[in-house]
Amino acid sequence: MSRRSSPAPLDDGDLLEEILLRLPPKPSSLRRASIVCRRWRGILADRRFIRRFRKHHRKPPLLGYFDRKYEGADFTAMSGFTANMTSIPRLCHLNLVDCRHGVALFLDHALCEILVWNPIAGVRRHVAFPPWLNNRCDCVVETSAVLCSASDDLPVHGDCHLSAFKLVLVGEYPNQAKAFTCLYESKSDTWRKVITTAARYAVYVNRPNVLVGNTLCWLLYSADLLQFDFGNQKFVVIEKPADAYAHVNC
Amino acid sequence: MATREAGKKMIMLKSPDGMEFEVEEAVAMESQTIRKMIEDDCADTAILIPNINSKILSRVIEYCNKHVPTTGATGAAASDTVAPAALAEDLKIWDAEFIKVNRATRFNLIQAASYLNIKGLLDLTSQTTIDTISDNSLEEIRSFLSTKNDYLPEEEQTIRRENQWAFQ
Repeated sequence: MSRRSSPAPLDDGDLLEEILLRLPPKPSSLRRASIVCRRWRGILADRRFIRRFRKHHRKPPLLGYFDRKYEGADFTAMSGFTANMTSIPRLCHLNLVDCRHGVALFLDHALCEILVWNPIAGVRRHVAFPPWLNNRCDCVVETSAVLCSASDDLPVHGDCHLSAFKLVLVGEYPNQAKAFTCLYESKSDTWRKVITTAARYAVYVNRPNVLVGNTLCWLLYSADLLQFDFGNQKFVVIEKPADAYAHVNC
Repeated sequence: MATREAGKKMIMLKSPDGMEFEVEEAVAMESQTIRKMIEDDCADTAILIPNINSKILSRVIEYCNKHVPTTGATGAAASDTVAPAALAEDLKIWDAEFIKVNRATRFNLIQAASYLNIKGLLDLTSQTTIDTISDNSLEEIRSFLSTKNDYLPEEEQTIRRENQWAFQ
């Protein structure tokens, strides 16, 4: 390594940002580099930089996976990541339903709550099902989805404590051929009004939801799509073309 | 330096230290900054490239010359006749040789690539810098980039403690 003093390299913040953008997309990269100096930390913790970093590398690293056992499940960390053991959710009564923006989401039907886990920060948040669902026998919670900070960012340095996320709960009224959804916002810690739509089939929960712009999509058993646009609160079933051969396992 | 070829529009680039480089317009337009000047009709005579000395500018032109999509006599792009994978591999080997420069030159190339907005060169120079420092200790990184550790010892300890797993 050279110790020559010239030229004054990278005093320009924009150039330094260009270089730091190329740090490898490992979970530890930004945190390790943050310790070089305050200026680096300032750049690496900036939301705009994080957005650029994610866009540059496109595919985020796999932090780990749950291996379901007879009783509970084990979490195996990947990509050089080590989870804080005490923060790892125990899956005995939990159902892992979604992963997005660096956050994993679990449904706990026994406790009637949703568990939100940020594995990098080792932080968990519990959100109770909306109050109107209490002691209801006519409806069933099927799945849920998580979005962080209006879906344009994930909780990194600045938002390790899960301060800004949205949850979308989805379920059905089996005897009424209706699906329902309900949106939760962590900032106000409130559930919005329930929205229903006609749906003859349940959500095929073995397939993860898909986020397209402001719209979350779930596959139904009929191979139709259940869509929720959390921008304009539109909740509809999009039927597959009548002549299309489509099946949930296709 | 480029030489004039029949039928090809040439552009004159001037460095602040008075050197002039005549390059094909297509080569110069590898720089999005110069492309915009040309498209906005701001490039009638010579274009002065501020802050980039002749040594660095000649290297930048060398890079652009290599990376410009070349066209043969028939007008077909060379990439139509040479297998794209072979072309990409050739460029990769050429890039690896091109970037074997000292630290000062590399930083100057980053600045030039950024100002001239040449994405490929910015990628190459920045990525090489990151690759150089990625496997080094923090002290070596600070030394290489002439950066001082301005954390208080207790602050550094706190950051390390909060992200313990990342430093294992």
